[in-house]
Order: sequence, then C-alpha cells, then structure tokens
Amino acid sequence: MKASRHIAVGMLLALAVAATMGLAHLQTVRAQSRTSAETSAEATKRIVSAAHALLATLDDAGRAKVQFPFEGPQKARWSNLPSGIFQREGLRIADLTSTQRDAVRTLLTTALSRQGYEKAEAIMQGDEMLRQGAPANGPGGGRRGGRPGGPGGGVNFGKDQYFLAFLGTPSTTQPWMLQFGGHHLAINLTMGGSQASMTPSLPAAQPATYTIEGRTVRPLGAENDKAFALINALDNAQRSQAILPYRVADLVLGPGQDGRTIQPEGIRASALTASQQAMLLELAREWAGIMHDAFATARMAEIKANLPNTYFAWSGPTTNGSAAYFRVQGPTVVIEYAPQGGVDHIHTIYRDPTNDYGARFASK
Amino acid sequence: MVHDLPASRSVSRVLVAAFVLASGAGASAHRYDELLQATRIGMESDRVRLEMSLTPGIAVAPAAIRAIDIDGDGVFSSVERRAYANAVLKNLSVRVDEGPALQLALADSNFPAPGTMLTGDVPISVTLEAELPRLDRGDHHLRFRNDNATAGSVYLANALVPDTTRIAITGQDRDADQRELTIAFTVSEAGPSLAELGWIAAAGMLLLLPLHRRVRMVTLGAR
Repeated sequence: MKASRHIAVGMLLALAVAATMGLAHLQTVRAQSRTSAETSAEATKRIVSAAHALLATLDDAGRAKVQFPFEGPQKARWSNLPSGIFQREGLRIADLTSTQRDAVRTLLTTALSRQGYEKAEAIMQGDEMLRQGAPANGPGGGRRGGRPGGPGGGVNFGKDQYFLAFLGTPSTTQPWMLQFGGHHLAINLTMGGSQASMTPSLPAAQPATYTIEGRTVRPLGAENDKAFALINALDNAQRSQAILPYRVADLVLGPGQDGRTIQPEGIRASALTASQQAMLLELAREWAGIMHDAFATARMAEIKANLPNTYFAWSGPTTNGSAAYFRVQGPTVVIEYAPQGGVDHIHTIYRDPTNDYGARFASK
Repeated sequence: MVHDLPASRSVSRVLVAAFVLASGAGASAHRYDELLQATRIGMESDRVRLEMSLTPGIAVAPAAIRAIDIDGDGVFSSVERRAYANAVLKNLSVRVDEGPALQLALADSNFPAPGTMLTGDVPISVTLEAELPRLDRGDHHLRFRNDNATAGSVYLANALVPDTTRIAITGQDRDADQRELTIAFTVSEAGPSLAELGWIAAAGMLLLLPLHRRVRMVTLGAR
C-alpha cells in the first residue's frame, strides 16, 4: 500500500517535471520565433531605410532611372551576359558619384549577409579582372579584358558595369524588389513586410580563381568544395543514384526559364545519412545565405523541412579540381552549378519554384 | 507565331565584334564550337509541348546565322524564321508507347537579332506541340529523339513536372549525350482528349436542345 502510494507520488512528480519542462521549451520556442520575427522586421526597416537614403542622394533623373513598377518587364530583365550584349536598365554604378556609390554599398551590405556581400564583391572583382585582362589562375584564365564602358555603350566588363533597380517603392509593408546585377551576377531580392525572397538569383564567376593583392580569391570556391565533399562522402550505392549517366552541358533552368519545374533526379536526401544531409544543407546555404541572416535563417529552415523530398544530382568527374555539374532540387529550392567548358568559368542558378520573385507573399 | 527578341539590330554586330575581340576570341569564355540544344518537355492531358532553346557557340554562330538568313540581308525574315523552325521540327521525333511519330506543329518561336547570336550565348527559342493519343489508365512512356544538327551539338533534355495530376512521371532514361530521352509516366485515370471533350460537349448541347424547347413550350402553355 505504502509502495503504491510512493509510485503514485513519483509519477505525479514526474508528470509535473515533464509539464514544467514542456512549458519552458514552449516558451523558449515562442521567444525564439518572436526574436526571429522581430529581427526580420528590423532588418526590413534597415533595408528600406538604406534604400530611401540612396534615393535621397539622387536627382530626379536618377530616381527615374532606378524606379520601375513592381509588376512589369523589368522583373525578368536579368542575365549572366555582360552589359552591352544584354541591355540592362536601372542605375549604373559607373554613372554614380562617390556619395551615391557609398549609398549603394550601404544598401547592399544591409540587404545581404556578410558572406553574401563578399561573394557579390568577389564576383564583381572577377569581372574587373576580365576588364583589366589580368592573368587568372587555373585553366582558361588570362584572357584579355574588355573595353571600359562609357555612356556611349559597348560590351562592358568591370566593377562599374553593374545596375541597381527598385521595383515598387521601398516599403516596410508593401511588396517591392531590389534588383542588382551585371555580368555573372543577378540578385533579385523581393521584400514584403517581414518576408523576403532572393530567388531567382544567379551568382556566377569568371575567372573562378584569381589573385589580388597576394590573396587568392574563389568567388564560388565554397560551393565547389562542399559539393565535391558531399559526392565523395557517398558510398557506391548512393553514388550510383546520385550520378547521372549523361553529360549536363549547361544550366537547365537558367535565365529566361521562370515558372518551369523540371522532374527531379539523383539521390533523394531521405536516402542520405544524417551527416550527409547536413552537408547537403550546408551546400544549399551557400546560395540561401546570400541574403540577410534574418531572412536566410527562415529560408534554411524551410529547405531543411523539405529535405526528405530534396534530390542531389551529379554529372561529371568526382575529383575536386574537375569540371562537374550538380543540382539540388526540392519542393522549394532549385540550385544548379554548371561549369562552362572548364573549371574557370562557372554559371549557377538559385530558384524557389513556389516563391520566385516573392510569389507567395507579393502577388496581388 | 514568330517573334523577334527585343534586341537592337543596329548595334548588335558592333557590340558582338567588340565582345569577341575583348574576350580574346573567348575560347573558354562562352560556348565555342557547339550548338547547345536544350529541350524541356511538358505533358498535359491531351498534348505534349517541346520548348527548345538553340544556342550556337561563338565559332559556329556565323554558320548558324547564314543557315537562317538565306538571302544574307542581315535580317531574319518571318519566312526564314519559319523555314528554320520547320527544319528543326523535321529532325525531331516523339512517340508514345511505340506508336507512330506524333504530328509536331510549330506553336511559337523567338529569334534574336542575327548579330547578337555571335556572342555564343543568345538562344533561338522554338516551341512545338503535338496532340497525345488517348491514354488509358496505367504505365506509358514517351520517347523523344533529337536528330537536329548532330555534328557539333550538345544536348539537354528534361521532362517538366506535369501541370495535371492525371499524369505522374516515374522515370527518365537518356542516352549519354541526351539526344534521346524516354519519359516513363503513369496515367491515373483515362480521360477524353480535348477534341473528344469538344464532341461530348456538342452532343450534350444537341441532346439538351429538344428538352429545352419542350420545357419552354410547357412554360408558355401554362401561361
């Protein structure tokens, strides 16, 4: 009798402890989500503020150049091609004063994560290397640079040949879009209140490796290395599923392919071990993490939630240093990495079939 | 329909010449001596749609332009564009379940200004469609083959996720260079084709017409 009373008291105590722990956990989760929401809202406020600060440095002509309707042809006007061959519209860096350039830089550093801004900078610096004709490391490097671009037009390479546009008016409540791009770079950041989407975007690189001030720069080096690490972490049975038995010569869903979803191929992440899944997530983070951390965190959580239905596909050799194509495709993400004939010229694309241009929150 | 891409013809040749010179002939900068033929295949309940992008590399672009611009006037006329699209079409085949080749028809096309193609990165877009035969519930396969410009081409061929829930793709099988793609798919329920739906609707109207007349007569008689 006494023993059973002790057991009952023990069970009650255990229940009370479990309930307390559960309540505490719930409060933590709520606090975390509240912090995350607040951070997103704060980030939106800072980005919008930086956008308006830039607008304030422009005269009427400059504001007319940078501003576009939210819905319209400007939305899909992005490419991997150099300016001149592809006719971009917006505010060209080359045409800005130093104050205005500073305002653009502040806007980009506010809107992107630190690593995202560094990646964009490295891609633009690579284009500057092309313009200067400086020798690049790796096969295919060392080609002659392009002509300096002037207001008269031409095929233009270099850090000054990037364009900024606002689609819609920068706002903390209404949808708008920050578009920034040029040769080998297209960032399409759509914002709607505390939500943001940075798809479709196109980070690319040529040269893929270069040296500046004694420092070796690989704008997409982490993407390359993480992918090779993952394919080499698979066992033979997994590799046979991941490796496509045919050559993939280019991006399948590159510029101009908005709204299309291809049938996924490769190995499903549910067939990967926990550590391999973590590697796949870290690979995806290289693209998802370009935007501000407050939004990237939510984006990564979404990609993680859909991980069991995400595929990893590979085409080409598996020794790092070789040119190989790979694709990560899930319900809310498509990433493609396509070397253009060699390892020193890379095109990539980053999409969300459900949320390109913020379709989930910005459609009217 | 045949469209022009919004590119300025007047500056394109100058720009491209500059681009090619600037990139040191661009041997590894952009696609060089290959024609990239990318085909995305979309299946609907009653039809199959082939969306093709044809991108000639820098070294083969002049020949590609000459092959389209037959009169050499520097402009792709609507006749020339249609002729090129039809020449591509004739070298493609689509079959379902070992049946006869489907009748492909040109649905749309977009041609850039000739000069811009010299960059080796500007595609011609051709969209083709064919009506699917009636497909019963169960497993089927669609075989696509591209024999267009086989010398010096690289290929991409991908199935698009179908818009309809009636069709589910279960596999894709390609040859090593993606000239041939076999799409395995299942049909969840047999459905009428669009043409058959039209006939059913027409028959329904014919059946309802006498009934409508009778109801109207009864109504008028009651008044």
